[in-house]
Amino acid sequence: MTVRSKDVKIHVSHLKKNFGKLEVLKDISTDIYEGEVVCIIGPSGSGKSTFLRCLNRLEDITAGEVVVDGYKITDKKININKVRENVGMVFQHFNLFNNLNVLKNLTLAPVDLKKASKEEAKQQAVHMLEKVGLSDKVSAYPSQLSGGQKQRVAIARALCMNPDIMLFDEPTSALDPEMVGEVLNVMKQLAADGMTMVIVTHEMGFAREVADRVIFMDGGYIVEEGTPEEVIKNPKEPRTIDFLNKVL
Amino acid sequence: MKKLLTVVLSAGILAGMLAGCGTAPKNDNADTNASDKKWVIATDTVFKPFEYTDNSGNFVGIDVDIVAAIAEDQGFEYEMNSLGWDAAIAACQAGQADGMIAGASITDERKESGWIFSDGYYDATQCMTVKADSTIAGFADLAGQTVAVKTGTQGAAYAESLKDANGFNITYFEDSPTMYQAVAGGQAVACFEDTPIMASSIKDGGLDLKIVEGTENEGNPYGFAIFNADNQELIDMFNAGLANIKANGKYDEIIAKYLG
Amino acid sequence: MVQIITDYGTLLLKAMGQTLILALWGLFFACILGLIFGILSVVKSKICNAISAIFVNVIRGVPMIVLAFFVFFGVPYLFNTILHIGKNIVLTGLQAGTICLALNCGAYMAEIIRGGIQAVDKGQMEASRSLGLPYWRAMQRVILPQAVKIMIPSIINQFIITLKDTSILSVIGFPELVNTAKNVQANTFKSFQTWAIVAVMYLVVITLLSQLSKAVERRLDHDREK
Repeated sequence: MTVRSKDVKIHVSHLKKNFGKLEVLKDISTDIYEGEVVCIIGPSGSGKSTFLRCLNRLEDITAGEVVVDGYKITDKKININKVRENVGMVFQHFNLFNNLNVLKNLTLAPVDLKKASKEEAKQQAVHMLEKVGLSDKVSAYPSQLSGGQKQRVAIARALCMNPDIMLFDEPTSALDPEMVGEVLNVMKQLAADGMTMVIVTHEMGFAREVADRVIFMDGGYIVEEGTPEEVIKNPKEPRTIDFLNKVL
Repeated sequence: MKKLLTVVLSAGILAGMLAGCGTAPKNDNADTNASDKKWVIATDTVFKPFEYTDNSGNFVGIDVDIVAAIAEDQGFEYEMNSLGWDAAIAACQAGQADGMIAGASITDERKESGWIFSDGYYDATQCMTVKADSTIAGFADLAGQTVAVKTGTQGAAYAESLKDANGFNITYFEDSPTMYQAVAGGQAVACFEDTPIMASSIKDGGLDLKIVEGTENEGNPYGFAIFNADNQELIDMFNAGLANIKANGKYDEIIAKYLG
Repeated sequence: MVQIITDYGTLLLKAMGQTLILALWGLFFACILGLIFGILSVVKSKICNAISAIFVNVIRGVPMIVLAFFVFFGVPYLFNTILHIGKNIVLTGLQAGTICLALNCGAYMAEIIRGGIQAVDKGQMEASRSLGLPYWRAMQRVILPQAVKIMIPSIINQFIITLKDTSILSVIGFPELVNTAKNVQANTFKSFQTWAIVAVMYLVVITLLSQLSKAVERRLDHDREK
């Protein structure tokens, strides 16, 4: 765990999230370090997706403190859009902009937010598409892509903002099995490049191979966390053991 | 349509007789036995004081009373249908009504369209009316202004005849109250209306309007009208009855009742 | 019927022109009102939602003929007689008619726009926001373009309804097609012939409008497939 000596990129303490009367996150505290790849696993309804969405405040935070990249995002006065520019997010259902072609999907935000000129953004987009292996899809529309291609475009779109942190919300759950590999490969490459990544996933093999740390969540709490070796191979908590028995 | 109706009705009655309902045999053919026919006469809904609904909810007016007096004099049965101006015209054309009386002026254009008018039963002059505090004193003051009229009235025709020479615009409303309101509210500077109607409306309705002196025209007679030439008999009865009630004073009584 | 066309053809065509002018002005402002109130109904603000709901419910709850009389006579009365604001305010038939159509059609447009925006997948907004785009930019660049495509058939339908609704404004004396036709009918006493001509005129214009709208729809679909 040498990464721990590096800077804290995301600091979470006593995070709580309620949807009305339903308490989804009860008390979450953890730190995520620069370059660290953290996989969050757990049964559905455990709050893992909600936790991830709190990290860029797509969900309003009920209580606690979340600091991302030095910005205390639980502070209402913070310009959340500035923080989000640095935190890429990939969704289960891709959420590509259906009205725009692949190139425009990639350049919309950088150009609109004046992160790059049109020409620069275009060059970068082409570069990112090469990286995810979709150079030939520059002018395709989302409806013409397969699920796996859509998700790779979505990753490229997030990368075009040059984020420091990438959040993945079950990126392979909506894919046909034969397309899962191509997406995971892109993510592995990203991890190898040293990107700080937080990944909600059901892919235990991927977690074991790529994650620096695995967090098991259940009932709105972090039940167990540690290296993949510790959590997936030798879980200590009964709930973790129970969950892993079901999915493996 | 009327013939079809007659056929259907006759067939119905015939069937009734065959079924032994005991209906007294009777000639139902309207053309040969006029006194048994119930004439349907269409009229407007509101054209005060020719036809309107009074405070007690009765449908009254000069047209209503004249038809009643003539029917009594000539001994025919009728039913008055207050359909509204547009619908009254359509109803006569369709044969849903036999005739109409709605303060309709006798014009050549209408006659050319195939309508048959009775003798004039009322001579209306038209005049210009403005807001009580208006400075408009004659037609020349209307240049560039908007004038309100009621669709299809002789007032509208009067305004149309003055429009080009005096350079004003005409806005057409569907009923008199709306037209008066347009003048009172300033949407139009003047309106053109039958003089007696205007005078009685200003008096009875407490309207903040005044008739401009010297704007009266020579007037046009109102007539009772039919569209279907088969109903000529109704026109004949109307004309005969009208002459009688004018002679016996009944006509003057009616006019005095509404315009006195 | 030929007689009417030779005598009154130009007048009726002019009236059709007035109908179209009124409809276009009404629709123009209705689109603006609809967009404003449609967006007010989807933003995360209870006050905005309430304002929009009140507007839509009030306008939908009042028949347009009543609205027409109210705007034409009531509004100037309110300003001139009750409030005594400024100089004498008088609305022309076109102004009052435009206001009525804009309010009436605007309320329905607001509902169409609300429905259209809500029909766009929530993920589109989340993805936009996750990239750092502000709400309004996301609305403008991502949500509305997609919502418009969803809305187009309903909007065109509403346009046609509004074009036909202009006939209601004959009551305030605006010389549109029905108002003029009533005049022609009163002059000639030819009821069916007049209304037959008017019906054909409306039919032609609305058919053309429908064809145009279908072409627009196809075009948009084509763009999306490309």
